[in-house]
Amino acid sequence: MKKWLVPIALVVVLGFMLMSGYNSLVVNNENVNGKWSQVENQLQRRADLIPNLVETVKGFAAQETEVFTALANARAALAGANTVSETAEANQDITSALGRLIAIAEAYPELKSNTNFLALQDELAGTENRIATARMDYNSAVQSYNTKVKSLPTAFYAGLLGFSEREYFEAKDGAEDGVKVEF
Amino acid sequence: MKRLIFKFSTFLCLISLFFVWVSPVKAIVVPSPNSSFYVMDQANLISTSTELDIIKTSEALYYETGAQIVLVTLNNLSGYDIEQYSVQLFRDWGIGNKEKNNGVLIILALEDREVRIEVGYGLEGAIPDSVAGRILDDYMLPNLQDGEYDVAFTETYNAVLSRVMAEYGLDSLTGVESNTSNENEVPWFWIIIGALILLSLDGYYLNGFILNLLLRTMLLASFGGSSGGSSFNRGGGGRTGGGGSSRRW
Repeated sequence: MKKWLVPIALVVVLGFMLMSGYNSLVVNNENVNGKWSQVENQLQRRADLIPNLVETVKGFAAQETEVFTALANARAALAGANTVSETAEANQDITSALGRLIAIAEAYPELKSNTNFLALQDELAGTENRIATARMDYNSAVQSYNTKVKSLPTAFYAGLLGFSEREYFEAKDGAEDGVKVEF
Repeated sequence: MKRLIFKFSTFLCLISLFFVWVSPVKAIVVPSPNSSFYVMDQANLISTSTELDIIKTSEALYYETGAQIVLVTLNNLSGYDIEQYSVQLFRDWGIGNKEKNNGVLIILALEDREVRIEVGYGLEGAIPDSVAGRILDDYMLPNLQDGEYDVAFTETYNAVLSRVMAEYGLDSLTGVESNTSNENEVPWFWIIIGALILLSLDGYYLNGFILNLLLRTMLLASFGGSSGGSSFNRGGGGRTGGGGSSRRW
């Protein structure tokens, strides 16, 4: 009777460890998903702002076609992005293009003092900040999750259960944390 | 047999080390709130009477709506962006109600000459970014440029306050006479009961693993400080998504 007790106890304990490890992976993975949703939310929010912004600027500076084209291309790239890194790069391009669009106002005093434009500037800055925050939250969630996936003893069975490392939301090399849109 | 049990226990102890909770590295260290919670005047710009007024009004607002408006002045941002700093501080302090996320942080860094209104998720409709920007343009910046700090903060605070009150359909706030001890006692009682149950289970089944974890967290929390004064307030656990507006002067 006593001889069988120890191996059985061992199996039970290992079973519980496996279960809690798996649950922890699930929780962390869902957290990453949730944070990614938030990133996409904020990207969408900015996308909704852009038409209004473009129209306002065109009202005063329609001839600056180069900037409008750059922005349109960047938006198309974001729409076509499938992976996290593609999204990160497209996001970077949009931020740069928007920065140039806002910079145009420097040459057009009427635009610069237009109340609608000023309000849009604030909204845009706020949205860029939200994207930055959502990105920070997402990367933090990915860090927790990746740490779990790579740590022992979960590393032994994470792959078998379908859990693999997830991508960080990172800007291109040499671009830091996204261009800070300063006004 | 004894040797087997010994080896098994050692194995379990080693395994339990793998369950150490790994926390992500916090990027920015921000100060802890003081006992009033609603005003932290590190840069010494606000007069005592204004400070007390703001605290009392914020307390009254909190009791009626759960919303929290906090004012912080700093000497400098320690090299950080005001946006990142604000988000970190806002979340650390838990400004606003946990469910409603109705917090607002008005923060100024004297040496950096930057000021920001950070708005919690729940109040982004009441105070969109452009409105936050306008409030800073109309009430904060002109007074800061004149060096009228008290006026700057009072007017900005009131502008934010009126928007929050409008959001909740309030015309006025009833004052707060009694101290806050009642508000804080009830939750603590249940927390203690729960803790005792948890600790006894923990001691019986897990050899005190949870107790170990608790002691470590309590040690860290005790440096956050609580005062014996009559006005001990705390954050409601609200969060921000990065909404709001900043200005330089």
